[in-house]
Amino acid sequence: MQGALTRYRVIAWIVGVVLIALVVVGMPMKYLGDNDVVVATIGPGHGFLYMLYLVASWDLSRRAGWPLQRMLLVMLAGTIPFLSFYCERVVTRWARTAMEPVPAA
Amino acid sequence: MRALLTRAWIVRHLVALTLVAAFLALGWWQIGRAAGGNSLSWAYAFEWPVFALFVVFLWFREVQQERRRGAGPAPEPEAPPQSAAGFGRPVRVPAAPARPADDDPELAAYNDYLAWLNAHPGARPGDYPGPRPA
Repeated sequence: MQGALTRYRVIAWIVGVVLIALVVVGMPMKYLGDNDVVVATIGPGHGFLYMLYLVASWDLSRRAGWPLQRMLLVMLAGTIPFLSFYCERVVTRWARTAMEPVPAA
Repeated sequence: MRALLTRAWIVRHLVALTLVAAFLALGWWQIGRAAGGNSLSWAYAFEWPVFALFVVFLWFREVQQERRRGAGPAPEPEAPPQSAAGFGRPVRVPAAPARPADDDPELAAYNDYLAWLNAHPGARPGDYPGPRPA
């Protein structure tokens, strides 16, 4: 599960950065500056990266044994610019909790 | 089968259906835009159906898991008959009871590893944090 968490964190970070680039640089250039070169370049790329993010979230959630609602929440979190980094921290904390050894009864 | 018709599951089926329909509609919209000359839309026209497929995949896995849970734990494999009198190879039985584990640190460490694996069903061998301090 450590591996699944690492994969999730890497792709969450990448998707977060690309999403910010898209929202902060690409969209103003396209809709204010009438120049869609950034959106045309990284827009579809973000879509494909987000697919990897979905798969990584699913893998991590299943290994951690989280309920479906939490899995969907983690998946949605990757679509929010800026907040996605905070969500990655929260997810990491959840996963670390799930990895702690069960106290022997 | 009945477990998949509870309220929570009907909501899940409906959400999955809605998402698939919405994603396919968005894909169709992008196909229209792409045909209208928007070259960026070709990529999105391909991506939306993939997201729809992913919803189907998730739905399928959840249903599969629920059905497996409903079936209960797999029945224990039947123990081989103990007294097949007269047939089969003779079985060696150790005359002395097995050595207790306490005097072998390597075996104790391995047993701790096995106990940890047993306590963490989802874990993989690489996740073992090491023997607990005694």
